Amino acid sequence: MNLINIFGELEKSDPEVYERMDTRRAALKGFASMSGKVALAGIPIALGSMFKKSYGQANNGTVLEILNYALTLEYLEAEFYQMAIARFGQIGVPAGAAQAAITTIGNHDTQHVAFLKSAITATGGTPVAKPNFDFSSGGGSTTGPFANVFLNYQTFLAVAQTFEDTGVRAYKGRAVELVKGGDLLQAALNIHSVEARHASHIRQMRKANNFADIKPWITLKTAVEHPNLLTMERKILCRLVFKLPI
Amino acid sequence: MTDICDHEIAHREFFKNALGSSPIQGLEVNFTSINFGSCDSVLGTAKAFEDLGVSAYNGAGRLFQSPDYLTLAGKIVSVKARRAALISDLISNGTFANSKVIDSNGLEKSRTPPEVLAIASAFVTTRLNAGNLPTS
Repeated sequence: MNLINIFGELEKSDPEVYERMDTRRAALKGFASMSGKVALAGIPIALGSMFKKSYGQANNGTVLEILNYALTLEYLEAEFYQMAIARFGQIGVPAGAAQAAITTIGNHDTQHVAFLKSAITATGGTPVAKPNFDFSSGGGSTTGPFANVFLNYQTFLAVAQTFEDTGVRAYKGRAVELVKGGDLLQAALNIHSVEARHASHIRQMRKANNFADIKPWITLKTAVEHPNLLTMERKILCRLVFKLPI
Repeated sequence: MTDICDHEIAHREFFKNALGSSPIQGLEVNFTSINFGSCDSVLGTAKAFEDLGVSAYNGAGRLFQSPDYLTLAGKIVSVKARRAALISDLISNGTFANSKVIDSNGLEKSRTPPEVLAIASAFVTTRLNAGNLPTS
């Protein structure tokens, strides 16, 4: 393990790092005792007020824009999985482990939606409304290239993998803008690693379904051997999330 | 497992490179509590290490001053989380993101460096003390 190296690096770049951690530990201790007193559903709001404290008003615009961007992605994933959960039979998701895994992932994404909405409200912003999604990637026609996404297990898993890998990259990409962002950055990272766990499992499910060379992580080999995945990712991002022409 | 080992070596070499002339020496490890003849023991320890690693990066992200290093740490932690999920599934399929590692808001754990060191010290003979870390 390379833990000490990391801490050495942190300390090198920020000599006050340990002092700051002590302060943070005290803050977290306070938060822990507070969260013991509020209902579980109230926790995101409490976190939101922590975010507000860790960011001055000057940064709020960017922070809210990033939170709403994350919320849009979570709306997409949450609706995708909730639709799938209601259609396990017609998609052909095997009963047992596969259905349980999709349910687990869907529940997390629904929790992320609730968490982000609460955090946005508590940070003084307004959560964006859920867009209408066309999971066929047809730009609203519902007859796009993945029109059978809820009729074919392999298509469903391919789109799911694209969403999960995209989710991981999206959080990673925007997290950079939150550098030194304290609690908000940490919350983004805490969602980021959950998305990575989802991606890993979806990739294992695909591996078990005729994509034997897919690994739980992204490899150059995978990108070369399945260039259509990259095309698919681009199409989905363009049409569903950013509403741009392909 | 070979892929995972190769990832770790790549990460170690990356950090050594990034640290230039000031990386710490290799750690003296103590793996006597692991039974390398038992798949359960090896996988169980691997899961503990991976989950600890993810929580460590999640907790340390806020300490980075440089966006570039934060991005690199993000790239490492997502691979780590993917591995953590795989190893967890190898132990018991479907446990890739269960409530032991993910809270009711759908968030994974973060651990501070002192918390990580306290857990890691069970496997490391070299003294791990946040107060004794190199400053340059």
